[in-house]
Amino acid sequence: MEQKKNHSRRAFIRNTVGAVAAFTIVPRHVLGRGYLAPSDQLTKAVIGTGEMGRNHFAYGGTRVVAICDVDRGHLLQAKELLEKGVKTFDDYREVIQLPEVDIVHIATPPHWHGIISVDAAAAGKDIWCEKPMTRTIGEGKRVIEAVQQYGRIFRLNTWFRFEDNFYGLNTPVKPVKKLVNSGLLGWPLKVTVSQHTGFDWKFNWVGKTNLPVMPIPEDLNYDRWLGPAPYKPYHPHRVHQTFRGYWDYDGGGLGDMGQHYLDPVQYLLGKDHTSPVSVEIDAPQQHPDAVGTWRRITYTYDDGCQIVLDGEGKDEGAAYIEGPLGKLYPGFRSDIPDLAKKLTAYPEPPVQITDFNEAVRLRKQFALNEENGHRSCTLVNMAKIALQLGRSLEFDPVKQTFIYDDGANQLIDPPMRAPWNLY
Amino acid sequence: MELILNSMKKILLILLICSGWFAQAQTLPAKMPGKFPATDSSRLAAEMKKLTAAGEAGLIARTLMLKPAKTGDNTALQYALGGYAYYVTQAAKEDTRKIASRAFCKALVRMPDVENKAFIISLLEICGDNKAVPVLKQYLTNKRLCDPATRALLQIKSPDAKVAILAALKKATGNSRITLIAALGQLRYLGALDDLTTYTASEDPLTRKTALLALANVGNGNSEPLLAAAAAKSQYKSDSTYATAAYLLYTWRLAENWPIGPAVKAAEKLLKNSHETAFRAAALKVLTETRSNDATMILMRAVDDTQPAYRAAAFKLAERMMTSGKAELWMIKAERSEAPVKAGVITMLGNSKQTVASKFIMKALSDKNPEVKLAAIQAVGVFGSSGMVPALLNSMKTADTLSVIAIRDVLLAIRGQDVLASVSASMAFQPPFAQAALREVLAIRRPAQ
Repeated sequence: MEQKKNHSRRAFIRNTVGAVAAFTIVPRHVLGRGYLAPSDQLTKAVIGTGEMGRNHFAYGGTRVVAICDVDRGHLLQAKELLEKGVKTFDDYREVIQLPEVDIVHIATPPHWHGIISVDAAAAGKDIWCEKPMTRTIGEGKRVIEAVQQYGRIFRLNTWFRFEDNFYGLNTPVKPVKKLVNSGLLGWPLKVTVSQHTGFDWKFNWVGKTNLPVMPIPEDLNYDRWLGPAPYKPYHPHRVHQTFRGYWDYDGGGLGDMGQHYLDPVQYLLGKDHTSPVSVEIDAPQQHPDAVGTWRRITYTYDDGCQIVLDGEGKDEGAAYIEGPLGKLYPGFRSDIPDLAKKLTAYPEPPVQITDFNEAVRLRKQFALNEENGHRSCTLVNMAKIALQLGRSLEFDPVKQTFIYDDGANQLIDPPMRAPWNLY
Repeated sequence: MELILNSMKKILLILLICSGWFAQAQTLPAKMPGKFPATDSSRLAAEMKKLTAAGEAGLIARTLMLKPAKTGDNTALQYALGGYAYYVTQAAKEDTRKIASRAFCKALVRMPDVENKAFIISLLEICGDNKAVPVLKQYLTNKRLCDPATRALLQIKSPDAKVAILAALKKATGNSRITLIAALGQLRYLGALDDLTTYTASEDPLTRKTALLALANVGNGNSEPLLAAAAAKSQYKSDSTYATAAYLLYTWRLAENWPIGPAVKAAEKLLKNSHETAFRAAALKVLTETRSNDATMILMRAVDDTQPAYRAAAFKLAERMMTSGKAELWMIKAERSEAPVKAGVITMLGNSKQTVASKFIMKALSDKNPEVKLAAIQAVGVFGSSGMVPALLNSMKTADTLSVIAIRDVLLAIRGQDVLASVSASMAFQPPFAQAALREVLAIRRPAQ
């Protein structure tokens, strides 16, 4: 955290010449003709106004001009939090056509992320999407195509690769990245994501079976809530706070926290443009509808680097990162003597574009974008497939298909319920 | 003798009883489906082997044990049958998969409950084969089951599946019709061209939209006038009809075929007629992929456009196809361009790590235009070469605040033992603001004593 403070542009200016703070407002001539200046506030539409969506009304430099939800109750609650004049919708397809919207913020359940991202890109909007980026690997590939084809800026909303303490690791990722890049730990590395290294897999997000059919609440457009997902009779446990327990919409605690925990690991290992070659699982059999728990998931990359997800908390005493030359534990503790001193001789990780508004204005790729976001989401989605099938799998990271496994490949891009599709 | 006869009768009786019991076990519902859920992969495999041993009749029997909602708990059976559908999709289990598909089909037509039928159809989506098509097609006109049956047929993808969906479309109404139209598009079934074309004239907006997209997906040359007219009616804009999106999809489908002339024509039409950045950028991408030999020339024209987002998209396209030969051409282009384009070229060359552009980028570090200079600094950061540090430090003397901060960040990230020595040596020649930045670099990077 200390290092982050030292490095921030704002801190530097504050510490040196206070009067130059005005220069942080980028002059229009620097941006070039036609670009939005920082003083021009960006506008956004938030799609999905449950708790997640409502929490994102207020981030800096933007103004909410429209909100959308298929639950009238959510929509009314959200509307009360906003200024008068904010437009309300129950159909995102109307929202993305609003000319006054710059950014579409997608805070729906994950089974909608891919479709809304692609449609928003086609409508010329930039996109801020909550994690996990997509429910399937196929949707992620299509989001990349659409964002790049339509020349859009995409942000996946997890941030630990560039700011904040990384959960129980109790340190930001940046110094860890510096350590990995230094080579002091050696190579290949093994990263253990466990309660003992500071991470909770949230196994409370499991589904229920034998659900009795319940009447659909008047406020909820259940058909629209399901959208591309297969129709299943309504039960309140399927929707809103507990939807993560069903494969049709997400993937339990792994779906909820997986990309939060794994995206920084992918960044640390320098694997933003690739995927593991295998995923091994140790888990009880999964129900075809309801997500269950798991004990251990192990990813292996082609160079031997491994990521271990310890669901049972069995890896007591495990290092967060272990290499042939040393180990790193939560709190930046290490078995390498004088690590902090040794590290000062090494360069900092390259600067990332971490201000989404700046990325939109300057049309520059955000630090966590459609490409690396898809790869870290693939970590989640390939494990979900292995769990559903009840077997370990081998993966071709270039073709992004499973090797010699029809069943696994069927789950890469399963058909959607019409009329929803990724065009 | 009597004793022998009696013994033989007993043996025969036992054999008869055994064979009868065996036959019954094969056809009557099993009482226990096994131990589900299995606690791990090896126990799951063991349970699945038992199901395989039960054969087609055993699988049918277990499938028919599914109870209608409110009359019992199907959880264990869902684990067993769902697990089996996934199990048989492994490599080298093709014969088992055929048996599973056949068994699920036979059970499907016998079970009364519609939600259980939907569940079994969802298993056929995983493990069904072409022989499931005649069974699945019965449900294509069923309001509840059309969607799961269509999804199963979409996974089977066989010619029979296509024919079945088209045949059902002729009788379908409402949502089922939408489902079938969309499926024919996804299957890119040329045989459905006439029907899909007819539905593009539907009075129902959703049917019309789905048919336009499906027709585009088929990608037949004869559909161009219709799809172009629809896009023109939408003024080549993004709107609720999805007509322009359909036309773009169509250009991509044309681009997958040879000759590429029709795709080029369609992309040029979209580029000329659409004023929306997103569609123009997408058309540009089609053009650069279909006219790959001319791509650099096309993109050089595109980066002079007045729409910033379009220019940025063009630079990104160029970056993804950059080679050292193309980099040379882009450097010439940059020298002849105004600052925004020059800065864009520098960023692009930096991002694509074109070492052939090193000198060009180092020269740009002393450019008088702040936008160009900033781009050059950031490009040096991407290169990460310590050989560029002296030029970077030299440019710091005349840098504005933003550039000084950018140079500081780059100096912190460049590898090399000589970076600190260069920074220290340059300190005395820098203005006060730059000195402060360099002191920070030294404080962070200097090895602790």
